Amino acid sequence: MTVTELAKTLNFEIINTSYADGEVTTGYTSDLLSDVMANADEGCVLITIQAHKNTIAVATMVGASAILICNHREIPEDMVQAADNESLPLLRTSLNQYQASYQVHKILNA
Amino acid sequence: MSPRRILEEAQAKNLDIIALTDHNTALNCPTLLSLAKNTNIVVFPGLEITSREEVHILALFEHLEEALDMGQWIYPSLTEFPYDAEKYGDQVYVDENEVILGEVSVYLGQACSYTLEEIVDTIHQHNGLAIPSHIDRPGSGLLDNLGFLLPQEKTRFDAIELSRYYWLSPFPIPNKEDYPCLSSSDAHFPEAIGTLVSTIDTEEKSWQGFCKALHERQIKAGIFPSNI
Repeated sequence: MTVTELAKTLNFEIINTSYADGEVTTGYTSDLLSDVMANADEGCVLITIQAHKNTIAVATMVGASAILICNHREIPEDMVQAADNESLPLLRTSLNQYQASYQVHKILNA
Repeated sequence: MSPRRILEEAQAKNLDIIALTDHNTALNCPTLLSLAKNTNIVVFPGLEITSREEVHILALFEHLEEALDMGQWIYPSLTEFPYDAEKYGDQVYVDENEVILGEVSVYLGQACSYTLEEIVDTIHQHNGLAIPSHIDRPGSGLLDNLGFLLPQEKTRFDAIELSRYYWLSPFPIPNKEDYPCLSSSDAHFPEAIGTLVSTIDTEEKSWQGFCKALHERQIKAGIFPSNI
């Protein structure tokens, strides 16, 4: 499933104006970036509340296909800028991490 | 832990320089600085700020006013929610005789809404030193929360602080050599004061002497005084 398909189906807000619409094959949920670096899989959508630009660096490092910011957290401009620079899709939802993870898991394993 | 108690403990432990860095506030600094005037101990006023990324960073200053200004900058960025002093502990500031002067109603253990970068900028605008705390430690340390330490030119941190965990069991930290290293007790109760210290090689026991020693790397961290 592509990032756009995932976002549209689950009603996630797409923050970037342009991005690389890669395949999402799995999800990973964590708010500790050291844990993301160690355990996230390539092609995942990273589900987190860490709304700052360092998250972009870590997501890029592990080859995530997208980042999903939960709880409708405010996203600072420099995070959007960093996501644009990396063409990394940045999504947002008002769901919390638990609810978002459940929805993503359900759709990817349907 | 009142300023009077902190000073007594620091004197008993023969410390030369201490910093008072309560979480997200500098309101106890005026009393400690005033008490320390009649002693041989130099006190740097400061704060331990929790950034938006939930990384702890020390802000150290030469002058009280700079620390208080920094506290005033942080305060509005903390979220107001009902604070239960019974559960989380008192958040009071006191005078030289331990009489309570006031209480902070916003929970000080929370993250502020500023990013690390914004915090470093603002510390520098106030002529302070920006030093991420216990970067090696699980929970609220830079490496745990962010996953990496960038080279100094990117972060503009003036030094890094390593906790007892690192000194007891050192591990490789990429870019660590870029930074002067400090260690301190991160004391949350009086007995812990001075259990881990740094020594600096300086002719001048002062802010200027400290800054110069940091700059010239004339600082030795990771000393457990009871083991000497």
